[in-house]
Amino acid sequence: MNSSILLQFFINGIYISCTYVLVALGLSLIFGVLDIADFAQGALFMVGAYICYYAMKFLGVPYFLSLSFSLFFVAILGNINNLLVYRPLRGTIGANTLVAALGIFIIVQNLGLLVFGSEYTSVESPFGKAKFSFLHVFITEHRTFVIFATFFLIFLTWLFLYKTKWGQGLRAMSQNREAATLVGVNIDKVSIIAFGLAAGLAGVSGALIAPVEPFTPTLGGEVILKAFASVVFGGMGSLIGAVTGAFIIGITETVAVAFISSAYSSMIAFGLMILILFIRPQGLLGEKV
Amino acid sequence: MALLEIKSISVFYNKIKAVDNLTLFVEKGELVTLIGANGAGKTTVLRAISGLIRPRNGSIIFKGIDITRMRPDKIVQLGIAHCPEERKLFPRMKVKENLMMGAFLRKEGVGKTLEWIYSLFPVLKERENQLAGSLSGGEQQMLAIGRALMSQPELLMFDEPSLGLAPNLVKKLASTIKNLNQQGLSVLLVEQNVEIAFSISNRGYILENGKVVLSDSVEELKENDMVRKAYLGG
Repeated sequence: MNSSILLQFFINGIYISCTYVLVALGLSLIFGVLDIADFAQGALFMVGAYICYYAMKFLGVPYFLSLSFSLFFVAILGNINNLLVYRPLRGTIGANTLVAALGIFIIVQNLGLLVFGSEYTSVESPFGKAKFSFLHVFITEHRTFVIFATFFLIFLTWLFLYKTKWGQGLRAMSQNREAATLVGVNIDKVSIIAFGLAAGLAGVSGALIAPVEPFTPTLGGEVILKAFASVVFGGMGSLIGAVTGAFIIGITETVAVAFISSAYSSMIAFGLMILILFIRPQGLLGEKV
Repeated sequence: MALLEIKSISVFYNKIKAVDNLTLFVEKGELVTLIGANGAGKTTVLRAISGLIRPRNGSIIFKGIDITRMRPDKIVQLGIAHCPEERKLFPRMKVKENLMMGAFLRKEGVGKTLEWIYSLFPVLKERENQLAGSLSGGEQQMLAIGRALMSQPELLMFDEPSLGLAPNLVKKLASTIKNLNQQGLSVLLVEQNVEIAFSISNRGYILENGKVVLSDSVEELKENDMVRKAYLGG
Protein backbone atom coordinates (compact mmCIF):
# COMPACT_ATOMS: atom_id res chain seq x y z
CA MET A 1 0.00 0.00 0.00
CA ASN A 2 1.09 3.49 -0.92
CA SER A 3 2.46 5.42 2.08
CA SER A 4 0.59 8.62 1.21
CA ILE A 5 -2.70 6.72 1.34
CA LEU A 6 -1.73 5.44 4.77
CA LEU A 7 -0.91 9.00 5.83
CA GLN A 8 -4.29 10.09 4.48
CA PHE A 9 -6.02 7.50 6.64
CA PHE A 10 -3.91 8.52 9.63
CA ILE A 11 -4.97 12.16 9.23
CA ASN A 12 -8.58 11.05 8.81
CA GLY A 13 -8.15 9.04 12.00
CA ILE A 14 -6.92 12.11 13.88
CA TYR A 15 -9.97 14.00 12.64
CA ILE A 16 -12.40 11.19 13.59
CA SER A 17 -10.82 11.05 17.06
CA CYS A 18 -11.35 14.80 17.37
CA THR A 19 -15.08 14.35 16.87
CA TYR A 20 -15.42 12.48 20.15
CA VAL A 21 -12.30 13.10 22.21
CA LEU A 22 -13.82 16.14 23.96
CA VAL A 23 -16.93 14.15 24.90
CA ALA A 24 -14.62 11.38 26.15
CA LEU A 25 -12.72 13.91 28.26
CA GLY A 26 -15.99 15.20 29.73
CA LEU A 27 -17.27 11.70 30.47
CA SER A 28 -14.04 10.93 32.24
CA LEU A 29 -14.19 14.16 34.27
CA ILE A 30 -17.72 13.51 35.45
CA PHE A 31 -17.05 9.87 36.13
CA GLY A 32 -13.95 10.73 38.13
CA VAL A 33 -15.67 13.26 40.34
CA LEU A 34 -19.16 11.81 40.73
CA ASP A 35 -19.01 8.18 39.55
CA ILE A 36 -21.67 8.90 36.94
CA ALA A 37 -21.36 7.46 33.42
CA ASP A 38 -23.11 10.46 31.93
CA PHE A 39 -24.49 9.25 28.58
CA ALA A 40 -26.51 12.46 28.37
CA GLN A 41 -23.29 14.13 27.18
CA GLY A 42 -24.02 12.63 23.75
CA ALA A 43 -27.31 14.48 23.57
CA LEU A 44 -25.61 17.68 24.73
CA PHE A 45 -23.16 17.30 21.85
CA MET A 46 -26.11 17.26 19.46
CA VAL A 47 -27.72 20.27 21.17
CA GLY A 48 -24.41 22.11 20.74
CA ALA A 49 -24.57 21.57 16.99
CA TYR A 50 -28.16 22.90 16.86
CA ILE A 51 -27.40 25.92 19.05
CA CYS A 52 -24.64 26.80 16.62
CA TYR A 53 -27.07 26.44 13.71
CA TYR A 54 -29.84 28.54 15.29
CA ALA A 55 -27.46 31.22 16.56
CA MET A 56 -26.18 31.68 13.02
CA LYS A 57 -29.59 31.49 11.39
CA PHE A 58 -31.72 33.61 13.72
CA LEU A 59 -29.24 35.86 15.48
CA GLY A 60 -26.98 36.23 12.50
CA VAL A 61 -23.86 35.64 14.59
CA PRO A 62 -20.77 34.50 12.73
CA TYR A 63 -19.74 30.85 13.08
CA PHE A 64 -16.80 31.47 15.40
CA LEU A 65 -18.96 33.42 17.83
CA SER A 66 -21.71 30.80 17.68
CA LEU A 67 -19.15 28.28 19.00
CA SER A 68 -19.05 30.19 22.26
CA PHE A 69 -22.88 30.21 22.36
CA SER A 70 -22.84 26.41 22.18
CA LEU A 71 -20.17 26.19 24.86
CA PHE A 72 -21.97 28.52 27.23
CA PHE A 73 -25.56 27.32 26.88
CA VAL A 74 -24.71 23.63 26.86
CA ALA A 75 -22.56 24.13 29.98
CA ILE A 76 -25.69 25.49 31.66
CA LEU A 77 -27.82 22.61 30.35
CA GLY A 78 -25.32 20.11 31.77
CA ASN A 79 -25.69 21.70 35.19
CA ILE A 80 -29.48 21.76 34.99
CA ASN A 81 -29.38 18.07 34.17
CA ASN A 82 -27.21 17.43 37.22
CA LEU A 83 -29.44 19.44 39.54
CA LEU A 84 -32.71 17.96 38.29
CA VAL A 85 -31.69 14.35 37.80
CA TYR A 86 -28.35 13.21 39.19
CA ARG A 87 -28.24 15.17 42.41
CA PRO A 88 -31.54 13.84 43.76
CA LEU A 89 -30.20 10.35 42.99
CA ARG A 90 -26.95 10.89 44.91
CA GLY A 91 -26.45 8.22 47.52
CA THR A 92 -28.67 5.66 45.81
CA ILE A 93 -27.20 2.69 43.95
CA GLY A 94 -24.99 3.38 40.92
CA ALA A 95 -27.30 1.59 38.49
CA ASN A 96 -29.93 4.30 39.14
CA THR A 97 -27.80 7.10 37.74
CA LEU A 98 -26.71 4.92 34.84
CA VAL A 99 -30.29 4.21 33.84
CA ALA A 100 -31.21 7.87 34.41
CA ALA A 101 -28.31 8.99 32.20
CA LEU A 102 -29.44 6.70 29.38
CA GLY A 103 -32.99 7.95 29.88
CA ILE A 104 -31.91 11.58 29.65
CA PHE A 105 -29.94 10.82 26.49
CA ILE A 106 -33.02 9.33 24.84
CA ILE A 107 -35.39 12.02 26.11
CA VAL A 108 -33.18 14.85 24.87
CA GLN A 109 -32.66 13.10 21.54
CA ASN A 110 -36.43 12.70 21.12
CA LEU A 111 -37.05 16.26 22.20
CA GLY A 112 -34.54 17.20 19.54
CA LEU A 113 -36.55 15.35 16.91
CA LEU A 114 -39.67 17.13 18.13
CA VAL A 115 -38.18 20.62 18.26
CA PHE A 116 -35.55 20.55 15.50
CA GLY A 117 -37.31 18.06 13.21
CA SER A 118 -35.90 14.94 11.63
CA GLU A 119 -34.71 16.54 8.39
CA TYR A 120 -31.03 17.06 7.79
CA THR A 121 -29.68 20.41 8.92
CA SER A 122 -26.52 21.89 7.55
CA VAL A 123 -24.33 24.67 8.84
CA GLU A 124 -22.14 26.60 6.47
CA SER A 125 -18.45 26.56 7.23
CA PRO A 126 -16.65 29.91 7.17
CA PHE A 127 -13.92 28.07 5.27
CA GLY A 128 -16.35 27.01 2.54
CA LYS A 129 -15.14 23.89 0.79
CA ALA A 130 -11.49 24.89 0.72
CA LYS A 131 -8.91 22.11 1.07
CA PHE A 132 -5.28 21.81 2.02
CA SER A 133 -3.10 19.35 0.22
CA PHE A 134 0.39 18.22 1.05
CA LEU A 135 2.30 15.04 0.11
CA HIS A 136 -0.75 13.89 -1.87
CA VAL A 137 -2.86 14.09 1.30
CA PHE A 138 -6.04 16.13 1.27
CA ILE A 139 -7.98 17.63 4.17
CA THR A 140 -10.61 20.34 4.18
CA GLU A 141 -9.74 23.58 5.90
CA HIS A 142 -12.71 23.12 8.20
CA ARG A 143 -11.56 19.68 9.36
CA THR A 144 -8.12 21.15 9.93
CA PHE A 145 -9.74 23.84 12.04
CA VAL A 146 -11.63 21.17 14.01
CA ILE A 147 -8.36 19.36 14.74
CA PHE A 148 -6.53 22.49 15.89
CA ALA A 149 -9.47 23.80 17.91
CA THR A 150 -9.87 20.41 19.62
CA PHE A 151 -6.20 20.24 20.55
CA PHE A 152 -6.39 23.80 21.82
CA LEU A 153 -9.43 22.95 23.99
CA ILE A 154 -7.66 19.88 25.38
CA PHE A 155 -4.70 22.10 26.21
CA LEU A 156 -6.94 24.67 27.95
CA THR A 157 -8.62 21.90 29.93
CA TRP A 158 -5.22 20.60 30.98
CA LEU A 159 -4.16 24.11 32.03
CA PHE A 160 -7.29 24.50 34.08
CA LEU A 161 -6.99 21.10 35.77
CA TYR A 162 -3.28 21.28 36.56
CA LYS A 163 -2.56 24.96 37.02
CA THR A 164 -5.56 26.45 38.80
CA LYS A 165 -6.78 26.09 42.34
CA TRP A 166 -10.23 24.73 41.45
CA GLY A 167 -8.71 22.48 38.81
CA GLN A 168 -6.56 20.95 41.53
CA GLY A 169 -9.65 20.71 43.73
CA LEU A 170 -11.46 18.83 40.99
CA ARG A 171 -8.57 16.40 40.53
CA ALA A 172 -8.34 15.91 44.27
CA MET A 173 -12.05 15.15 44.41
CA SER A 174 -11.66 12.55 41.67
CA GLN A 175 -8.68 10.89 43.38
CA ASN A 176 -10.19 10.70 46.82
CA ARG A 177 -13.57 12.25 47.53
CA GLU A 178 -13.42 12.01 51.31
CA ALA A 179 -9.91 13.44 51.57
CA ALA A 180 -10.80 16.30 49.24
CA THR A 181 -13.86 17.09 51.38
CA LEU A 182 -11.70 17.01 54.51
CA VAL A 183 -9.26 19.61 53.17
CA GLY A 184 -12.20 21.88 52.37
CA VAL A 185 -13.06 21.22 48.72
CA ASN A 186 -16.79 21.68 48.33
CA ILE A 187 -18.41 18.85 46.36
CA ASP A 188 -21.25 21.04 45.10
CA LYS A 189 -18.89 23.63 43.65
CA VAL A 190 -16.75 20.92 42.08
CA SER A 191 -19.86 19.33 40.56
CA ILE A 192 -20.87 22.62 38.97
CA ILE A 193 -17.39 23.00 37.51
CA ALA A 194 -17.21 19.37 36.32
CA PHE A 195 -20.63 19.44 34.67
CA GLY A 196 -20.05 22.90 33.22
CA LEU A 197 -16.69 21.94 31.81
CA ALA A 198 -17.78 18.55 30.46
CA ALA A 199 -21.03 19.80 28.92
CA GLY A 200 -19.35 22.93 27.58
CA LEU A 201 -16.76 20.78 25.85
CA ALA A 202 -19.48 18.49 24.45
CA GLY A 203 -21.47 21.49 23.20
CA VAL A 204 -18.58 23.22 21.51
CA SER A 205 -17.46 19.90 20.04
CA GLY A 206 -20.88 19.44 18.44
CA ALA A 207 -20.71 22.97 17.06
CA LEU A 208 -17.20 22.38 15.72
CA ILE A 209 -18.25 19.42 13.59
CA ALA A 210 -21.67 20.85 12.62
CA PRO A 211 -20.47 22.28 9.27
CA VAL A 212 -18.68 19.05 8.26
CA GLU A 213 -21.76 17.06 7.28
CA PRO A 214 -25.52 17.62 7.43
CA PHE A 215 -26.91 16.19 10.65
CA THR A 216 -30.12 15.17 12.47
CA PRO A 217 -30.92 14.99 16.20
CA THR A 218 -29.48 11.45 16.31
CA LEU A 219 -26.04 12.99 15.80
CA GLY A 220 -24.87 12.24 19.35
CA GLY A 221 -25.49 8.49 19.34
CA GLU A 222 -22.34 7.27 17.71
CA VAL A 223 -20.28 10.00 19.37
CA ILE A 224 -21.27 8.98 22.89
CA LEU A 225 -20.66 5.29 22.17
CA LYS A 226 -17.21 5.96 20.77
CA ALA A 227 -16.44 8.35 23.63
CA PHE A 228 -17.54 5.73 26.13
CA ALA A 229 -15.36 3.12 24.43
CA SER A 230 -12.42 5.56 24.62
CA VAL A 231 -12.94 6.16 28.33
CA VAL A 232 -13.16 2.46 29.11
CA PHE A 233 -10.17 1.76 26.89
CA GLY A 234 -8.07 4.46 28.55
CA GLY A 235 -9.22 3.66 32.10
CA MET A 236 -12.36 5.04 33.77
CA GLY A 237 -11.64 8.36 35.44
CA SER A 238 -8.17 8.80 33.94
CA LEU A 239 -8.22 12.00 31.88
CA ILE A 240 -5.03 11.27 29.97
CA GLY A 241 -6.40 7.75 29.43
CA ALA A 242 -9.60 9.11 27.88
CA VAL A 243 -7.71 11.31 25.44
CA THR A 244 -5.20 8.57 24.57
CA GLY A 245 -8.04 6.05 24.21
CA ALA A 246 -9.92 8.32 21.79
CA PHE A 247 -6.91 8.75 19.55
CA ILE A 248 -5.93 5.07 19.59
CA ILE A 249 -9.47 3.99 18.76
CA GLY A 250 -10.02 6.70 16.14
CA ILE A 251 -6.76 6.09 14.32
CA THR A 252 -7.03 2.30 14.51
CA GLU A 253 -10.55 2.23 13.15
CA THR A 254 -9.73 4.58 10.29
CA VAL A 255 -6.49 2.88 9.32
CA ALA A 256 -8.20 -0.50 9.55
CA VAL A 257 -10.80 0.78 7.10
CA ALA A 258 -7.95 1.11 4.62
CA PHE A 259 -7.51 -2.66 4.73
CA ILE A 260 -11.02 -3.93 5.32
CA SER A 261 -14.36 -2.24 4.76
CA SER A 262 -15.59 0.98 6.36
CA ALA A 263 -18.62 -1.01 7.50
CA TYR A 264 -16.48 -2.48 10.27
CA SER A 265 -15.22 0.75 11.81
CA SER A 266 -17.49 0.67 14.89
CA MET A 267 -16.84 -3.03 15.35
CA ILE A 268 -13.14 -2.26 15.58
CA ALA A 269 -13.69 0.47 18.17
CA PHE A 270 -15.69 -1.79 20.45
CA GLY A 271 -13.53 -4.80 19.68
CA LEU A 272 -10.55 -2.82 20.96
CA MET A 273 -12.48 -1.83 24.05
CA ILE A 274 -13.42 -5.40 24.88
CA LEU A 275 -9.94 -6.64 24.08
CA ILE A 276 -8.33 -4.26 26.56
CA LEU A 277 -10.82 -5.30 29.21
CA PHE A 278 -9.52 -8.85 28.85
CA ILE A 279 -5.89 -7.80 29.04
CA ARG A 280 -6.06 -4.87 31.49
CA PRO A 281 -9.46 -4.69 33.21
CA GLN A 282 -8.63 -1.25 34.63
CA GLY A 283 -8.01 0.14 31.12
CA LEU A 284 -4.80 1.31 29.50
CA LEU A 285 -3.90 4.01 32.03
CA GLY A 286 -6.42 3.26 34.76
CA GLU A 287 -5.62 2.53 38.38
CA LYS A 288 -5.82 -1.05 39.54
CA VAL A 289 -9.39 -2.00 40.35
CA MET B 1 -15.53 26.51 78.00
CA ALA B 2 -13.86 23.61 76.24
CA LEU B 3 -12.43 23.99 72.72
CA LEU B 4 -14.62 21.16 71.43
CA GLU B 5 -17.82 20.09 73.11
CA ILE B 6 -19.96 17.23 71.90
CA LYS B 7 -23.31 17.10 73.62
CA SER B 8 -25.20 13.80 73.43
CA ILE B 9 -25.02 13.18 69.71
CA SER B 10 -26.52 10.14 68.00
CA VAL B 11 -25.38 9.19 64.51
CA PHE B 12 -27.08 6.71 62.21
CA TYR B 13 -26.04 4.95 59.01
CA ASN B 14 -29.47 4.39 57.52
CA LYS B 15 -31.21 2.58 60.36
CA ILE B 16 -28.12 1.42 62.19
CA LYS B 17 -27.13 3.46 65.19
CA ALA B 18 -23.36 3.94 65.11
CA VAL B 19 -23.04 6.54 67.87
CA ASP B 20 -25.47 6.57 70.75
CA ASN B 21 -26.02 9.67 72.88
CA LEU B 22 -22.32 10.43 73.10
CA THR B 23 -20.86 13.31 75.05
CA LEU B 24 -17.22 14.34 75.13
CA PHE B 25 -15.02 17.41 75.24
CA VAL B 26 -11.49 18.45 74.39
CA GLU B 27 -9.90 21.36 76.26
CA LYS B 28 -7.54 23.72 74.51
CA GLY B 29 -4.04 22.18 74.47
CA GLU B 30 -5.21 18.72 75.51
CA LEU B 31 -4.38 15.40 73.90
CA VAL B 32 -7.47 13.23 74.24
CA THR B 33 -7.77 9.66 73.03
CA LEU B 34 -10.81 7.70 71.94
CA ILE B 35 -10.43 3.96 72.50
CA GLY B 36 -12.65 1.11 71.46
CA ALA B 37 -12.95 -2.07 69.45
CA ASN B 38 -13.63 -2.16 65.72
CA GLY B 39 -17.12 -0.86 65.05
CA ALA B 40 -17.41 0.90 68.40
CA GLY B 41 -18.14 4.17 66.58
CA LYS B 42 -14.81 5.98 66.93
CA THR B 43 -14.44 6.84 63.25
CA THR B 44 -18.07 7.92 63.11
CA VAL B 45 -17.47 10.44 65.91
CA LEU B 46 -14.63 12.02 63.92
CA ARG B 47 -16.71 11.98 60.73
CA ALA B 48 -19.53 13.75 62.54
CA ILE B 49 -17.17 16.43 63.87
CA SER B 50 -15.82 17.02 60.34
CA GLY B 51 -19.29 17.29 58.88
CA LEU B 52 -18.96 14.20 56.68
CA ILE B 53 -22.05 12.77 58.36
CA ARG B 54 -24.79 14.63 60.22
CA PRO B 55 -25.78 13.57 63.72
CA ARG B 56 -29.50 12.91 64.04
CA ASN B 57 -29.58 14.74 67.33
CA GLY B 58 -27.35 16.45 69.84
CA SER B 59 -24.86 19.20 69.09
CA ILE B 60 -21.21 19.78 68.36
CA ILE B 61 -19.73 23.07 69.53
CA PHE B 62 -16.28 24.28 68.50
CA LYS B 63 -14.84 27.51 69.93
CA GLY B 64 -18.36 28.34 71.06
CA ILE B 65 -19.80 27.98 67.55
CA ASP B 66 -22.40 25.35 66.74
CA ILE B 67 -20.93 23.29 63.89
CA THR B 68 -23.42 20.41 64.03
CA ARG B 69 -24.86 21.12 60.61
CA MET B 70 -22.04 23.11 59.12
CA ARG B 71 -20.52 22.26 55.72
CA PRO B 72 -17.17 20.39 55.90
CA ASP B 73 -15.24 23.22 54.23
CA LYS B 74 -16.56 25.74 56.78
CA ILE B 75 -15.49 23.41 59.58
CA VAL B 76 -11.96 23.22 58.16
CA GLN B 77 -11.92 27.00 57.97
CA LEU B 78 -12.86 27.26 61.65
CA GLY B 79 -9.74 25.27 62.55
CA ILE B 80 -10.44 21.54 62.64
CA ALA B 81 -8.30 19.19 60.58
CA HIS B 82 -8.94 15.50 60.18
CA CYS B 83 -6.21 13.04 59.33
CA PRO B 84 -8.37 10.17 58.07
CA GLU B 85 -8.11 6.43 58.40
CA GLU B 86 -5.79 4.78 55.86
CA ARG B 87 -4.21 8.20 55.10
CA LYS B 88 -6.40 8.84 52.01
CA LEU B 89 -3.78 10.74 50.05
CA PHE B 90 -4.18 11.95 46.48
CA PRO B 91 -2.13 9.17 44.87
CA ARG B 92 -1.68 10.78 41.44
CA MET B 93 -0.54 14.10 42.83
CA LYS B 94 2.98 14.94 43.85
CA VAL B 95 3.94 15.14 47.52
CA LYS B 96 4.04 18.93 47.35
CA GLU B 97 0.67 19.09 45.59
CA ASN B 98 -0.84 16.94 48.34
CA LEU B 99 0.50 19.35 50.93
CA MET B 100 -0.80 22.35 48.99
CA MET B 101 -4.24 20.71 48.87
CA GLY B 102 -4.19 20.85 52.66
CA ALA B 103 -4.03 24.65 52.35
CA PHE B 104 -6.88 24.72 49.81
CA LEU B 105 -8.88 27.31 51.77
CA ARG B 106 -5.96 29.48 52.86
CA LYS B 107 -4.76 32.57 51.09
CA GLU B 108 -1.78 33.82 53.08
CA GLY B 109 1.28 32.41 54.76
CA VAL B 110 1.05 29.06 52.99
CA GLY B 111 4.76 29.08 52.09
CA LYS B 112 5.74 29.48 55.74
CA THR B 113 3.58 26.57 56.84
CA LEU B 114 5.06 24.45 54.06
CA GLU B 115 8.59 25.24 55.26
CA TRP B 116 7.61 24.35 58.80
CA ILE B 117 6.21 21.00 57.65
CA TYR B 118 9.36 20.30 55.65
CA SER B 119 11.37 20.99 58.81
CA LEU B 120 9.18 18.55 60.75
CA PHE B 121 9.44 15.88 58.05
CA PRO B 122 12.58 16.50 55.97
CA VAL B 123 11.88 13.38 53.90
CA LEU B 124 8.82 15.10 52.41
CA LYS B 125 11.06 17.90 51.15
CA GLU B 126 13.37 15.32 49.56
CA ARG B 127 10.44 13.66 47.84
CA GLU B 128 8.35 16.75 47.06
CA ASN B 129 8.20 15.95 43.33
CA GLN B 130 7.38 12.27 43.73
CA LEU B 131 3.84 10.96 43.37
CA ALA B 132 2.23 10.34 46.75
CA GLY B 133 1.31 6.82 45.67
CA SER B 134 4.99 5.91 45.42
CA LEU B 135 5.82 6.67 49.09
CA SER B 136 6.39 4.03 51.77
CA GLY B 137 3.77 3.54 54.48
CA GLY B 138 5.64 5.66 57.02
CA GLU B 139 6.23 8.47 54.54
CA GLN B 140 2.57 8.38 53.52
CA GLN B 141 1.55 8.83 57.14
CA MET B 142 3.90 11.81 57.47
CA LEU B 143 2.37 13.27 54.32
CA ALA B 144 -1.15 12.75 55.66
CA ILE B 145 -0.19 14.55 58.88
CA GLY B 146 1.59 17.27 56.92
CA ARG B 147 -1.43 17.80 54.72
CA ALA B 148 -3.71 18.09 57.74
CA LEU B 149 -1.34 20.61 59.34
CA MET B 150 -1.31 22.75 56.19
CA SER B 151 -4.74 24.14 57.11
CA GLN B 152 -3.20 25.52 60.34
CA PRO B 153 -5.70 23.78 62.59
CA GLU B 154 -6.32 24.39 66.27
CA LEU B 155 -7.70 20.89 66.69
CA LEU B 156 -6.18 17.96 64.83
CA MET B 157 -8.03 14.65 64.75
CA PHE B 158 -6.17 11.44 63.96
CA ASP B 159 -7.94 8.27 62.90
CA GLU B 160 -5.80 5.17 63.52
CA PRO B 161 -2.52 6.80 62.51
CA SER B 162 -0.47 3.76 63.56
CA LEU B 163 -2.36 1.41 61.25
CA GLY B 164 0.01 -0.59 59.05
CA LEU B 165 3.19 0.96 60.47
CA ALA B 166 6.20 -0.99 61.75
CA PRO B 167 6.64 -0.83 65.57
CA ASN B 168 9.63 1.54 65.47
CA LEU B 169 7.66 3.89 63.20
CA VAL B 170 4.69 3.75 65.57
CA LYS B 171 6.90 5.07 68.40
CA LYS B 172 8.25 7.82 66.18
CA LEU B 173 4.73 8.75 65.14
CA ALA B 174 3.62 8.91 68.77
CA SER B 175 6.43 11.28 69.66
CA THR B 176 5.58 13.45 66.63
CA ILE B 177 1.98 13.72 67.79
CA LYS B 178 3.09 14.49 71.35
CA ASN B 179 5.47 17.11 70.02
CA LEU B 180 2.77 18.86 68.00
CA ASN B 181 0.58 18.80 71.08
CA GLN B 182 3.30 20.39 73.20
CA GLN B 183 3.59 23.15 70.60
CA GLY B 184 -0.01 24.05 71.46
CA LEU B 185 -2.05 21.94 69.06
CA SER B 186 -5.10 20.27 70.59
CA VAL B 187 -5.43 16.64 69.55
CA LEU B 188 -8.24 14.10 69.41
CA LEU B 189 -6.68 10.70 68.77
CA VAL B 190 -8.54 7.57 67.73
CA GLU B 191 -6.32 4.52 68.18
CA GLN B 192 -6.48 0.76 68.32
CA ASN B 193 -2.97 0.64 69.74
CA VAL B 194 -4.07 1.48 73.26
CA GLU B 195 -0.65 1.36 74.89
CA ILE B 196 0.77 3.91 72.46
CA ALA B 197 -2.32 6.12 72.79
CA PHE B 198 -2.14 6.04 76.59
CA SER B 199 1.58 6.78 76.55
CA ILE B 200 1.02 10.25 75.08
CA SER B 201 -2.54 11.26 76.02
CA ASN B 202 -3.91 13.33 78.92
CA ARG B 203 -7.38 11.85 79.01
CA GLY B 204 -9.24 9.01 77.37
CA TYR B 205 -12.75 7.88 76.50
CA ILE B 206 -13.65 4.21 76.15
CA LEU B 207 -16.30 3.51 73.53
CA GLU B 208 -18.44 0.40 73.30
CA ASN B 209 -21.29 0.01 70.83
CA GLY B 210 -21.37 3.72 70.14
CA LYS B 211 -21.54 4.70 73.82
CA VAL B 212 -18.97 6.14 76.18
CA VAL B 213 -18.62 3.52 78.91
CA LEU B 214 -15.76 5.15 80.74
CA SER B 215 -13.85 8.41 80.68
CA ASP B 216 -11.02 9.52 82.86
CA SER B 217 -7.44 10.67 82.97
CA VAL B 218 -5.05 8.21 81.36
CA GLU B 219 -3.41 7.44 84.72
CA GLU B 220 -6.77 6.34 86.15
CA LEU B 221 -7.73 4.39 83.03
CA LYS B 222 -4.49 2.45 83.15
CA GLU B 223 -5.38 1.26 86.65
CA ASN B 224 -8.95 0.35 85.77
CA ASP B 225 -9.56 -3.42 85.83
CA MET B 226 -11.99 -3.43 82.92
CA VAL B 227 -9.60 -1.40 80.75
CA ARG B 228 -6.63 -3.58 81.69
CA LYS B 229 -8.51 -6.74 80.79
CA ALA B 230 -10.13 -5.57 77.60
CA TYR B 231 -7.50 -3.27 76.11
CA LEU B 232 -4.14 -3.73 77.75
CA GLY B 233 -3.92 -7.52 77.67
CA GLY B 234 -4.44 -8.09 81.42
